[in-house]
Amino acid sequence: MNHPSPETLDAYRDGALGPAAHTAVEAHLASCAACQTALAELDMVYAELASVPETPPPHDLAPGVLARIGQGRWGLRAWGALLLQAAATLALALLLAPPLLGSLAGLPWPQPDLSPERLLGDLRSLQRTVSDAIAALMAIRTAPILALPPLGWAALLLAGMSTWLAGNRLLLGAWHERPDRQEAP
Amino acid sequence: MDPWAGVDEQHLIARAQAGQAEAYGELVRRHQARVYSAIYRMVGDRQDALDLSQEVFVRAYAALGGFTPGRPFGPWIARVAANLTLTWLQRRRLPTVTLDPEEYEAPGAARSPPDYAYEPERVYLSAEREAQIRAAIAALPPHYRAVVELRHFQDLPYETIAATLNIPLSDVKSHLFRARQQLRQRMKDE
Repeated sequence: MNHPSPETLDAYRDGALGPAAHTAVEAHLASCAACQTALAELDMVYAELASVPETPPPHDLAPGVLARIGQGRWGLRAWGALLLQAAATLALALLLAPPLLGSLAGLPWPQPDLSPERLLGDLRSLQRTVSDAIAALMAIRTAPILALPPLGWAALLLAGMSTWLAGNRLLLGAWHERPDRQEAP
Repeated sequence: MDPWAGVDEQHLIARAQAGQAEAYGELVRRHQARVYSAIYRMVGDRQDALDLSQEVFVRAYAALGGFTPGRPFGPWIARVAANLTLTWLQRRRLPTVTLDPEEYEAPGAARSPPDYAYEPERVYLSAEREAQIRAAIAALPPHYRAVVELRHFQDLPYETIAATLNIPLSDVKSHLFRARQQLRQRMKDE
């Protein structure tokens, strides 16, 4: 057999040759000093690589990894909670707008009558209220803010406090459910 | 005492897949040396290796849902590490390490070498040789480093390396051959 190519010798050393080729190279090596030297150099590479020890990290990576995982989840939950908070604010505003703006515009409070005629009337009233609200808002923009009547201030405070409490309850709930606060088995 | 210390690895994986992050923390602790070592061999810089190791574990957590139960976690996370590091090396334009072993980070700084405790000269020579070998690996092109890491340090078969790096089997063979040729030359020169 001729000298095996460097690629073949490399594959032989790595155990990547088929049985027939492996046997042929082995037979050649038994009687070829040059190929034995080349193989010894390859052995050196293997031995040198094997001598590189495992290097432990300078500190425990787990806290940092868990913090990043927790941040990701906390971020999602927080955004969800904030969206809910915004939705609750909008709902409260819609709920409180008619009486508030009604009181501002001197309109009567809506009554809890759910008959179709009444709802239709309320819708028309709402339409008028919205128009009035826009006019009232424009007036608020130009008039001193202290001109808001006591009922308006009370409704605004109530809406703000409710939204704040509900939102923070959701945020605290998300905080307590963070993955890195879970208990061991 | 760590309450997760005695828990079976497959149980940890199942708990982590169910969203229990502390179980995943224990997996990180068990495999961080393997991951950090592999990345450090490939990039040759401790800080980069730390950053990449953390990134590997964070990404692996996100991909844990696709992990097949019953399989060992170590080889999987090592393959994730090699792949992510290779991508990082390819995106990075600047050379990652000095080619001069004298300037290479002193290895073993954070380790205690008990076997050599009473042979300071041997410790120095061993550390110097280790630095030379690390520098030789880090001087290889990124793809060569990846195949050397997966073949010589993770002991993966050629087919798995090809699948991990998404390259043809013939490339694995040729990369390994050329990498060993370059390593042999560099080691002979030093």
